[in-house]
Amino acid sequence: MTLAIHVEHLSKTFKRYQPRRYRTLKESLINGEMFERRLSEQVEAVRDVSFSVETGETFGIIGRNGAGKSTLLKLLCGILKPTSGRIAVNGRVAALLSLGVGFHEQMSGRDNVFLNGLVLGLAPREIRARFDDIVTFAELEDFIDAPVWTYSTGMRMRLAFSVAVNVDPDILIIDEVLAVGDVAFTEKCLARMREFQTRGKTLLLVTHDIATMTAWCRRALWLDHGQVRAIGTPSDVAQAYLNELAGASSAAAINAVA
Amino acid sequence: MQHLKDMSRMRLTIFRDHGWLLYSLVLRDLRGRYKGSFLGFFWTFLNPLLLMLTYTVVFGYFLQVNAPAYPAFILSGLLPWMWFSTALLQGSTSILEGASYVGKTIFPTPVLPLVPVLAGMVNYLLSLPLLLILLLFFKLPVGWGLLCFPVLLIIQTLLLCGLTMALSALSVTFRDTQHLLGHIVTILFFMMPIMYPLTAIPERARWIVEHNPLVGLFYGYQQIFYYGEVPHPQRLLWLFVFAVAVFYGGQVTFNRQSESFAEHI
Repeated sequence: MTLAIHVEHLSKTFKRYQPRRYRTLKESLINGEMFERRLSEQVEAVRDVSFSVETGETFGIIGRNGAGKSTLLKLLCGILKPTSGRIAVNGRVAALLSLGVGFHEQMSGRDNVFLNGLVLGLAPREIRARFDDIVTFAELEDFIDAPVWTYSTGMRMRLAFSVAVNVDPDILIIDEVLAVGDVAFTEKCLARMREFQTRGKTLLLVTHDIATMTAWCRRALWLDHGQVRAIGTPSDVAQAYLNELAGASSAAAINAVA
Repeated sequence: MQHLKDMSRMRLTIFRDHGWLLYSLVLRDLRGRYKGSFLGFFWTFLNPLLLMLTYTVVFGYFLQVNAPAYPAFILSGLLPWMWFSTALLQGSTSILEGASYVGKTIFPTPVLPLVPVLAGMVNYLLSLPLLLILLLFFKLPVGWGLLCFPVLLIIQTLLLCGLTMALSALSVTFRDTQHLLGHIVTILFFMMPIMYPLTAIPERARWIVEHNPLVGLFYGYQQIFYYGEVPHPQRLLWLFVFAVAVFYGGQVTFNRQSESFAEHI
């Protein structure tokens, strides 16, 4: 089996600076703190994570808010640079990240589709060939020449999803964006994702919904405080995850009573 | 299986890997420049024309600067200067303005500072007919020096790319850059023999100006268009080496900072 994604001992540390009290040049000069080093605090968003995803596999990443899932995805897309560790990727990656979709607000939907296609490495000719499919799938025929700032959240997501699946990536990374669309569109996306799976493409799903994970993934990973807590079949990972959640909530309940 | 490339790093292969993206961003910049304006493309000529008229009245007529055919003189230096200053000012904010992509999606950040440089070059080339008309009108000698034009173009492009890479990266962490830059550009313009000839500077002070490599560049443009001279090959070579050094320096500065763009924006 060939690997689509291989991650070895990946870590990402953010430096968080203590906010300085004196913000302007004048104040800092008066207080003589111009060159004083600010105290910094290290935040380890991702800590020594290793896993690999086989080509054609659907892999799930689960974890609570702030567990480091989004940071891990950004590392996988090459948006952030790892502090240490290694990532290797086989094939073209397209991503649907929940934080902003990377549209240029002033540009029309049409121009954004072209720009996104070019960024993902398509030639203009290839984009033109897929353009109608992208617009039809997103159901934005009447709005494609309007600037993106006039779009609703749902319209943006539809366009982003449509671009991501229609540029025919080898690896598709989806960060819980499917909650945004209405039922009909979500159905359509899911159908497209199934088709994507059957064509032997690699899918990386990030979610905190266990049902989604068990329904879709062949293997999964549970990320907690930036570290891998469990990796294996979705049911095993879900079990471990639920046990922890149950433990936490019963602990909270005991605290509340006491 | 390849090692994941860091998208935010500036490499020379960017022109191969993201050529289409760069091309379409440049085209967009050019189209957007005068979009929605009534005169549209004609602003490419009107902007320098209005400046030229103003300078001609002030320096050619009021102050009687010693440069015959003053409109041709000013334009030969002013057109590349407009490219230079606009690219520098736009380029320095390019990454901050790209906040909708940088750190949010897969996007090769290093193309951003290059776009205003290349768009400015196209705009400059499009405005050249204006200068050529003036050269013919004033019957100025057009010599072999014109063959050096592509060399000057390459030197200026390298220089600008290096500067915009460095400045765009610096302005992410040090936001005062843009404010400082506005003044630096103005000071440079007054300190360089663009609106007055080199001979207008007192002999004693001339060496300061002559050692400014930028002066060499703009004087080169004046030489080939206005004076009808061939620039000294040794001077061109030294300028080229300087431009390559600036480009390399800009690339290094950019790559040192680029890791943290996603975290700062």
